[in-house]
Amino acid sequence: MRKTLQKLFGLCFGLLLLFILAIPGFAAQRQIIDDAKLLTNDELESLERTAARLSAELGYDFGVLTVQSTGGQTPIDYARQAYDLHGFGRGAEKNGVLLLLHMDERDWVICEKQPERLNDAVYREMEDAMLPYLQNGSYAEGFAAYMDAAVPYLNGSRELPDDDGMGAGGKLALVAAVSLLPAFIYCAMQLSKMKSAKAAVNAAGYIPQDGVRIDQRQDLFLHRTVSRRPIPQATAKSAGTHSSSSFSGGGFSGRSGKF
Amino acid sequence: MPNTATVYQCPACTGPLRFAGDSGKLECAHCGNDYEPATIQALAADKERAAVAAEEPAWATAAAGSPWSDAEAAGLRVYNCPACGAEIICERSVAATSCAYCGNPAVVPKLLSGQLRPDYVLPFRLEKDAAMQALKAHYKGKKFLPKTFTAQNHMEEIRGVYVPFWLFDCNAEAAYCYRTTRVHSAQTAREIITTTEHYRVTRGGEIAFRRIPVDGSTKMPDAHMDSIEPFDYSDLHEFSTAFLPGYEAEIYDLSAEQSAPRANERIRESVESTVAATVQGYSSCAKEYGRLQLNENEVKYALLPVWMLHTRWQGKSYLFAMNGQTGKLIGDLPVDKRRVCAYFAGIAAPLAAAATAAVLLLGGGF
Ligand SMILES: [Zn+2]
Ligand SMILES: [Zn+2]
Repeated sequence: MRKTLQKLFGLCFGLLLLFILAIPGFAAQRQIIDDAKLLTNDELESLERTAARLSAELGYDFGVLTVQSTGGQTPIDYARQAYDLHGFGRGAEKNGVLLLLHMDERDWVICEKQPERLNDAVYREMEDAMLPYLQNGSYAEGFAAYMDAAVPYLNGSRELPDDDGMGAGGKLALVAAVSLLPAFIYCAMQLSKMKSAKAAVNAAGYIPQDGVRIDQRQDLFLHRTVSRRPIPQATAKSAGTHSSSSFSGGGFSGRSGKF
Repeated sequence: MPNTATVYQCPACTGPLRFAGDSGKLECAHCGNDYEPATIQALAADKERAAVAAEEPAWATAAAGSPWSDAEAAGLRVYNCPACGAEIICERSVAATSCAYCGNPAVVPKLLSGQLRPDYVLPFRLEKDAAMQALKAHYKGKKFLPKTFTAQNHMEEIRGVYVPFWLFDCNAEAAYCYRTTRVHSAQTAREIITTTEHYRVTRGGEIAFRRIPVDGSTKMPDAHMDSIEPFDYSDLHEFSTAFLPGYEAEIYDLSAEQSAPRANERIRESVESTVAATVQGYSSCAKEYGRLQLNENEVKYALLPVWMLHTRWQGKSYLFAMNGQTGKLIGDLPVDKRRVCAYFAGIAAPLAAAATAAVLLLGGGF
């Protein structure tokens, strides 16, 4: 009896999921999913309205998903699956980006569906814009900042910055390194062949077999010193030195880090 | 110890140590450490030893070489090069033509007097042809060698020279003392606790050295002679003038005493690294002092076979030396700077072009 109930329940749930996924309009209505309960109802509604307006104007979804736990999954994997599961994205290519906050570990992930309309330099700008708010608990402002930072690049008012974060100087340096380094290594190797006379520094070659007898050995303990150093607490929150890294794969590109 | 007036310092904090009658130990009121009196005495002795400057080990050089017999001396002739000062011994029947070291053709015959007779001689095993082949091989594959250098080289002037060497034998008695530490780290929720254990480590023993060769010639650059080592001593013969025909023998101009510091240097380096290698399992190790004494030491005078070519090119002299026994050849070569630049540009330019193209194609310009 119990098993049948469970089966029935599973079937209903599956159908419900299909139903949700099959109706794009339904998914579009919910772009801010606050499972970790970080937002007030007013904040949620306001963000939802903003996201809906941007979605219509830009043909691009800004999703936000907050969870307490990812159930052991890596935040990036979780974000990738959640993007599809919750039906984020506009149009046939499901254009959009999702911000995942994983509260237990204080992870954040910006995860954009490929083909991307943003790039890593923009993800970094989004990160820089939202992180100060996330760090002091102003989540609604953080989410708004995350959207605002990307909008100029989507509506064409600004051009995408260099993806690799490398300016002309960096590229020149790269070209110089790629060309000069092998030339330098080759020449240094050839030059080293020109010198073959070197003074000997030791006499290791003149120690006969069994010529080493070191039989007086004493290791005497003297004393012990103990030093205690406090572990600096919550370094991630201090002085804006957050670390983050980019990722790409599985149909998504993005950045992740801690807040 | 307790009744001496000396104030001993705590090795941990340099505070004064006080003898505690009940424990029989020296205690530090400042940091709370206590020590066996023997430990503190050993440390005090270390300090004194470390303060004594290391002496240059002495060698029994008197036994190196022997006087020539009149009969032998009569069959030999010494030539002196007024240009570079080299002195060469050869058979009386052979007239020396030019100086093997500097090429000066006007060498002056001289009487053999005062020089020592070698103890050993290591015969040549390789002939002149082999030396010429080795030199040609040495030039091969050297991309930066000026073309004119090989063209203007006088291969036929390769000469077989017995180079004077002092062979140093000893049993080096070593006594070394180190200060070492072992560091452990543990972590609690709030702090990192680092425990450092300090040790005094001593090592003593003997390391044997057999026939370390040091050339007794100022004409021969030391680096050249060191680089054609090793020689195979199993072929070492008691000296006889019978090995001289066809070759020249240089007379040493650096005595055994003058050559000893180079042997000492090499011995000390080997002893230090060998002994230090036995100090294991520590996080850090610093030498406190090291004493080296050369027991049963002996110096012998030997002639070792070297094929050499001395050549001048654009006002600079170049010396090539080949081990007359093993064929190992060395000698620094001149570098054609224009060729270096050409090769550098030849590699860098196409790569720069390719990299620029890649940046323009993939990265959308500079
Ligand atoms: Zn103390
Ligand atoms: Zn000369």
